Amino acid sequence: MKEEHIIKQLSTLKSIEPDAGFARSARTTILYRSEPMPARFFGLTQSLSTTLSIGLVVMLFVFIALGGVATMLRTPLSPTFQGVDEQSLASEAGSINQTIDARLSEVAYISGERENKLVMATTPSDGDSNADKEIDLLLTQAKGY
Amino acid sequence: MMEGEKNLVEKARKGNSEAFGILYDYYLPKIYRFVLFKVSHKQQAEDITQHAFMKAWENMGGYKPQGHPFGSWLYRIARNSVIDYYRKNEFSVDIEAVSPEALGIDNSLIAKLEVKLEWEKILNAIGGLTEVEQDVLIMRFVEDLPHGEVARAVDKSENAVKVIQHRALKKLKVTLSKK
Repeated sequence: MKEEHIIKQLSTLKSIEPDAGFARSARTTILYRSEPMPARFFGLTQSLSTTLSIGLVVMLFVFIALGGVATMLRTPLSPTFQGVDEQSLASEAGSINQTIDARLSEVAYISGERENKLVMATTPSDGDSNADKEIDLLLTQAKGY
Repeated sequence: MMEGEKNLVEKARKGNSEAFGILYDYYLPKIYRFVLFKVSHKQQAEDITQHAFMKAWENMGGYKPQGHPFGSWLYRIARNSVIDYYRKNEFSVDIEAVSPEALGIDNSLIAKLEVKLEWEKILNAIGGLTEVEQDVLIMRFVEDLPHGEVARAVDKSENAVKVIQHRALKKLKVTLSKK
């Protein structure tokens, strides 16, 4: 079957008409039982929706802008840790400080004592024979006093 | 597009029922046929057509011509009314059962058995096409609408309508050759 023949067949369907009774009754129902909404109603809804959209965009912009500034002012460069307990963190930091101080004083004490030859002699060394000899010498000197 | 349509549309927009009545008389057969071929049932086609015109009349105030013919707007409303109807009623038509009698077509043309059979064949074949293919073929070849007007009614570009038309005709050709 050729396309031209199909198109011709389709155009014959044009002769189908609605029932005259239906056309009359529908006309009456449509025109006399319903009313068109006034044009100004559509104008109003359209302008309202436009205004609402613009307003929402402006509000969103202001919200984002102010929110961003507020965050920047509260914590300029570092992030916030709202879930961390500040008190326990401070006490933990204090105990770490104390430990560091104690270690530092210990180090200071040891370095002071190292200048004393006797203490140096009692301090274990790497085990080379020269050091042992020196210790023996020092011990004999000590016995002599 | 009918003569003096612009003027009538303008009057109808202002609530003139007489002007809308004239537009109704001109477009009713076209919209009715369009709906009838889509739902394949006379009573349902009448209900949907009436609903579509009622919607058009109620929303006339919001219609803006913008250079497009009034018919495209009506076809759009009719299309949406058919979709709404299917969504609400969830009924389906047995495409094989579509016949001039089922469509309520009482026409002297179908008195001849040959013509009647031809119509039955083509209506069944149209039923096998997709929604948009049906729309394009009915608007183009039953209602003789130009590509531009069909494009506005189905919300597609003119080129897309040409492609759909070509595809739909090809499909119809295959279906009708099988029978």
